[in-house]
Amino acid sequence: MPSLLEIDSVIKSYNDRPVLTDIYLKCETGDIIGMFGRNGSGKSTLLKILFGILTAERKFVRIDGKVFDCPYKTKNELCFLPQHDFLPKHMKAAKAVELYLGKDAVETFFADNILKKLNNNKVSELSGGELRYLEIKLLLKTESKFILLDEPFNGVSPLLVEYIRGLIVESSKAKGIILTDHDYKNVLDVANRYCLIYDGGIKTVTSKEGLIRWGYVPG
Amino acid sequence: MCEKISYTFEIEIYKKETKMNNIGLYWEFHRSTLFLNLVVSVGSVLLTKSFLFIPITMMTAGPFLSFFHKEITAKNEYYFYYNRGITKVKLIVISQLANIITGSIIFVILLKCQAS
Repeated sequence: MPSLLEIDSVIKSYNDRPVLTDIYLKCETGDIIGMFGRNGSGKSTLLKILFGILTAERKFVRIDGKVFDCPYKTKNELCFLPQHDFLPKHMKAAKAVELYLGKDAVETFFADNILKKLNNNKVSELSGGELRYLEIKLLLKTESKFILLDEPFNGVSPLLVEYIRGLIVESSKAKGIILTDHDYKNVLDVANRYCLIYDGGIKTVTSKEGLIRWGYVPG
Repeated sequence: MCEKISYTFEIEIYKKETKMNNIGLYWEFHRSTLFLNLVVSVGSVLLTKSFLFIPITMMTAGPFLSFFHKEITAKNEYYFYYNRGITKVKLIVISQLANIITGSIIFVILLKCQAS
């Protein structure tokens, strides 16, 4: 059954400086929403508010019509990929997968070109790109209805970006995905809806020209 | 009918596995705080010259320093637990309960050893 995530009336300021002013965003199963915005525009802030880890002066988060104060406290509603690595360094990659997806899923999980031979490695032994790929795949394979990805392509080689894009598209059949990244070309390619945070509000854009018009991409 | 029973059975297995995974997540968090806790607790013997201070420190200053250290050096790792619906408060409370139980057992054992 398709799910619907809505975030409404978001107001957030840092030291009296308004960052987000009356944001509304809707994401349904099958959506891959590419969110753009200049540095400091509030993209990560919005994702954290949506996840429930950051408070806001005002916000309404609804999933399938039910209002959530902190959506992350309810398992399998939302998952969030933060900008920086989040898997515990001391843990083995296979253990992290087992804890998230169960023992039976481990073998299948590591049966791909990037992760094969890495299941016995500790997280701290993986390269930056491998770790990012592992984290993204792990979140996308959970049963969560919605996945928020903050800079998924950051520090990742072009080949891995291709694999990540494939995972995102495949997962979007059963989930809604919101991603933000300054690698706008890849975001434009992978997403099926776009929006831009500008001056605290959300603007809908449909193409690269829209990004140029709002001054995010040089003309 | 058979299908329904099989479906219910699968859901039960899934629920059990999820519960086990959650226990595993709490254990992994606790395990990540243990090393520093133990170092501080054993180190307290050098200062106090009393073995009884191992369990006492293990229940007080040890975990406090461990959680503080995690907050400073590995704050992002909390997202690993958030994504499974576990809050920071729950992690710290459960871990501290484990410290209190372990510390109490060690305290009683050391007391008995001293008495005999």
